[in-house]
Amino acid sequence: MKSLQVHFAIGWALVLVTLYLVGYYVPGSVEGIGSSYLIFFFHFPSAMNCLNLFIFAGVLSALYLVSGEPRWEQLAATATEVGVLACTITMVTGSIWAKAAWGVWWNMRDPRLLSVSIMWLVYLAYMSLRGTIEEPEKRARFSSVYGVIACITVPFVYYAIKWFGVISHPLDIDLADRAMVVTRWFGAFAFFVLYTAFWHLRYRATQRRYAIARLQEGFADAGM
Amino acid sequence: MSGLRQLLSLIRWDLLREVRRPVTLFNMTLLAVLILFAGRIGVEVFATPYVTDREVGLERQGIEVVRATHAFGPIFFWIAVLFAGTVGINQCFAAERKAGGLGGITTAPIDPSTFYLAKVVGTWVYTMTMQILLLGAYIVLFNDSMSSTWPIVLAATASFTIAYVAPGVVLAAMTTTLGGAGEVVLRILLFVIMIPLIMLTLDVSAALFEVPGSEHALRSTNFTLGPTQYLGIATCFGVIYLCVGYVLFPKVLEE
Repeated sequence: MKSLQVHFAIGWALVLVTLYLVGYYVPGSVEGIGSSYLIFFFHFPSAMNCLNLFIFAGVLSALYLVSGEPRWEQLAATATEVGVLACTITMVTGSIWAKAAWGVWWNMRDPRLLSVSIMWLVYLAYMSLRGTIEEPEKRARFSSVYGVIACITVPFVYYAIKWFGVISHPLDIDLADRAMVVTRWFGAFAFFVLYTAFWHLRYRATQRRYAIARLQEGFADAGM
Repeated sequence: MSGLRQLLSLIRWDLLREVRRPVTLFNMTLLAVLILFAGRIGVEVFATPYVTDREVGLERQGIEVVRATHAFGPIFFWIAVLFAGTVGINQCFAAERKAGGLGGITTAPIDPSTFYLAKVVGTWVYTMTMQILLLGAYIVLFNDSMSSTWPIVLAATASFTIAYVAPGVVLAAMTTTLGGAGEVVLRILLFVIMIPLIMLTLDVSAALFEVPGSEHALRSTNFTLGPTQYLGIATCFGVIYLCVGYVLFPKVLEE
């Protein structure tokens, strides 16, 4: 339990440092979009980490299918849950930024926005599949199969802009200032630590749930 | 029996079953035509009021309705393919389900991956048959002669169907064991996976069906794909899903 508390403490502390950097280190505004660009330092880390978590989930699902070791599947399922959280935060912060920069909350013609929302839906479908199957072994196997298939959509998110052409969202943000570059990558690291703390928390909770289920089965078998 | 002979006899068995009692093909085609029919009525009903103006001549009104028909026709065509396709995919394990589940496949002296390929080929054949029939209905309902476009549209539907059926068969094997909820879950899982390809297909449709004026629309949206590139990408999707399905299908059958 202590390792989880330490993990969260480091994660939140790093996020607070990111907040400080955003408030006092980077330029307060840039030409054209003013201070609204500051949300980028929260938007980018969530976007990067949701991709990371979905790729982890795909690799862990494949590992489960190869080895049959339940903990890989539990790690994949919990990585997906936290990935969906990060993806939701990416979409919400992106939407707020879009309203400030482009004057609209959402642009249906933008390939990056569409591809991220597709990825979000794919992983919500993964959670729907897990919720539908009651038998633990079958749930683990089927969701791992789907987890591997779902992982194929992740590269699409990156290549969408190249295939469809840029509409509003650029391929990469040009950060001329050194302070911006430092804050961007520091933020990405800080949120990585925080999201992995949430992953840690969810994994522990899942392990406890399975332990309780095994105990209940044991009691039931013993006729208690 | 060699792998290829096993594959061919499984495909033959699947297709013969469908030829003797073409319920799946009939249901798929009927659903697809109904969607196309509803779409055509929708275009007629919604396009006409905008051009029904006393100052606009009847000839002009006709031109506007024809323009709307050509613009929306391909969209309804793909929606029909998508929804009717799930009927076929959902039915691809109907015989096994009736026989009491997919357990028989694991006990049969056949490699499960060979069984997967046979199911993909079988489902692809009758989904393509449905699409050819649907193209006939499309020509009639949307008044599009397709004299020059039919080869590229058929090639696009063929590559789209591979990419659609390959993951669909794996997901159908999974959801067929889920009972009543399985059909809904299959659609959810398959549609979300297919959205990237659907987006590409809809974007290239104007060029595939040679919708009048599409060149200007494409330029204004920074569109970068042409029909040939689309065929390449759709085939890539198909091959990737086929390889993934080939590897994963035996895992679905494990007990």
